[in-house]
Amino acid sequence: MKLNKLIDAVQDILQGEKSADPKRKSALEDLMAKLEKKESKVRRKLKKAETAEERTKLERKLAIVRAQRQKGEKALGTMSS
Amino acid sequence: MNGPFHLVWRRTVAGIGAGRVIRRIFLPTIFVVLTFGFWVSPDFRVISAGVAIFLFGMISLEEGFRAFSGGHLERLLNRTTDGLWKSISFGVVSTAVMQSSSLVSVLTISFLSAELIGLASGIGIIFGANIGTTTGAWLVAGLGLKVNIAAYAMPMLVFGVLLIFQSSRTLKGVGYVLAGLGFLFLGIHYMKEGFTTFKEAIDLSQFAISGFKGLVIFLLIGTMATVVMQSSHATLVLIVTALAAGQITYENAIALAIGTNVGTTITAILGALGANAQGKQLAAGHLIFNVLTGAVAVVFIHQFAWAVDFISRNIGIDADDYTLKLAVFHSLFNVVGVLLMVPLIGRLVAFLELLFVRPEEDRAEPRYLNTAVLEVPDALLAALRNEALHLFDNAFEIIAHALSLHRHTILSSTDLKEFVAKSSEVIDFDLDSIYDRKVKTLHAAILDFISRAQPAVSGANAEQLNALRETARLIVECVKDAKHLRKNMLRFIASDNQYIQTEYNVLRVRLGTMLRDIYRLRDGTDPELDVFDLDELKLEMESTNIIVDGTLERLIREARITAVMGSSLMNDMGYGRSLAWNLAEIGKMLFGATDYAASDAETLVTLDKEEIERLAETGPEVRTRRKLKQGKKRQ
Repeated sequence: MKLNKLIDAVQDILQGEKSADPKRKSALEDLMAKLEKKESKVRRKLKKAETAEERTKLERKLAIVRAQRQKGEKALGTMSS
Repeated sequence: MNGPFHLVWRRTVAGIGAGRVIRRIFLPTIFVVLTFGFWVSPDFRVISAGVAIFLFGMISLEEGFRAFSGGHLERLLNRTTDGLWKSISFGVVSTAVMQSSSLVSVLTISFLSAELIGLASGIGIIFGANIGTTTGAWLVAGLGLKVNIAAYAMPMLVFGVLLIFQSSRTLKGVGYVLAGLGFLFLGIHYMKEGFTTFKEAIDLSQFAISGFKGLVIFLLIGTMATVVMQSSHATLVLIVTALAAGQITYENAIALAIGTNVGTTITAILGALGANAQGKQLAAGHLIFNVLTGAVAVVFIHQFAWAVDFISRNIGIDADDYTLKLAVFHSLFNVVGVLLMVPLIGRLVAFLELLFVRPEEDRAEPRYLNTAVLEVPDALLAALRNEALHLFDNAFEIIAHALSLHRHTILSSTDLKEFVAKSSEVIDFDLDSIYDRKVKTLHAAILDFISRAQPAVSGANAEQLNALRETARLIVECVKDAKHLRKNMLRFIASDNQYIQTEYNVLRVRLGTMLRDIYRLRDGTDPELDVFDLDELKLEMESTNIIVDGTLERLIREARITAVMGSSLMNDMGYGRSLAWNLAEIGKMLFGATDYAASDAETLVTLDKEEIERLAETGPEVRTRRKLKQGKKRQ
């Protein structure tokens, strides 16, 4: 472990409950990666959609995933690096 | 026994109960015996203080390990208890590290009561804990008696207490562990000192009894001493130090060690008193295992003695190093006990399930809320989550029937759109009475339990506790929405007016789909489905709102439905919308991530009411409608 990382880890322990923030950030990053994969999957499905009903459903899904990703990106931006 | 004393005694027993009489007599007797002992012998005072400091160290050590049980322990248990040998290993390692089989048994009972682990896994952990606890004798005999451990105890206590004063939960936990170890070492030191000087005044070894009689008497003394101290570890350390000082014979020390194994089950039995049937099954399993292992050791005592000599010779233990030989014996007979019982574990589980039958499932009674889970935050949260699921199951049936849909129809893969188009069957039932019996009572029990659990949790656990309280409230809200919705729905789904019937059927399909998706999330049968898809159902509900898109107005204007029907539909759309939003929230809370950081991330990303409404204004349905309108204008 590098010295900086070691100091960070010690600081996290000393700060107690505040150390939860890095965990929250990393959990959000994981979630964003999942949503990104989900979005490309929906896009692929949308290209292959045959019926109008299926298309509407997938478009709705895509709109939701995009909005969720945007919200997540915004939250990530406000979290301290 | 006759006369006035007899009468007073009978009244006392009848009035306050035999158990309480014993408890009332027990503590003062112990006080009197100890005070007399302190007055007679200053060395006895030192030994007793050593035991007290040692027990205090164990309490401190337990407190320290509890600080680390916020989620980590649950994950570790899930990962390590999916096989019998893994469970046994978990029991061995956790007991060896925490130096307390009592803490491990109480944790296991809590986890079993909350159904975080199964009975076979629980028994495996207890088997392992029996082996793990033997490391105590090795530590004391191998290290404690040969090294001046009091010298290590002092800095540990100083650093430990310093850390206990810190605000960080982790540091506090480390502090308790350090101080606990310090007190353990100090306790061992005092016991060792006490026995060494005690020998100069009274030679207890003159009371040694050899042969089978001695075996039985000392076995009973060992059992009683462990019951009183509620710690086999402390009793064993006392035995090892007494043996090292030559105050007891090796033969009697072996009998005492067997007794500690039987006596240690008292902690599990006491822990299981407030537990459900599963907790009691585990405590009984612990008792059966330890009594049987003790019986095997008594019956084959000569063979064990020979095996101990053989092993000791081969691992370089001197023939007269009785303390280490006792440690070998303690480990050997516990390992043999586990090896003998492992093939019989299936039968033991079947027997225990017969002995403590799980009560007939009463859907109105709480299934998971019992005092045993209050001990451990992880088990407490798991039990509450399971109880909230139980409440949701009860509510699900009411909501489904209020929509005139059978539970099995929702849970099957039947096309709901086709189903409601074909069937106008109305399910008639007494919603209020079922609500009172299956939802209100259970909700009250959950609220009562949360209020009792609140002081025991803090930080992220307290947040989860509040979230579970909110989930239970939302479940009740859902039933209330369904109740209002049902009133008109009963009339209109069997109506001759196909327009109003269609609109109510659309609502039934949407809510039915939501219930189906929530159940799929629970079962994990659809790998493509996640909690974020619940936002999609909310959006569908918003973007196909017939009040916003003008459909309702058109139906009234074109006299397809009456204005009264329109007013009912408008109100019921509101109830349906509220039901859908609450169901989505419940789905996220119950079937989303349990880890606080992941759950937090899910909450951050989930779309709120305004965001969904904004999306609905520009969503695919709106675009399709606009295109249709533009097409009509061109024509």
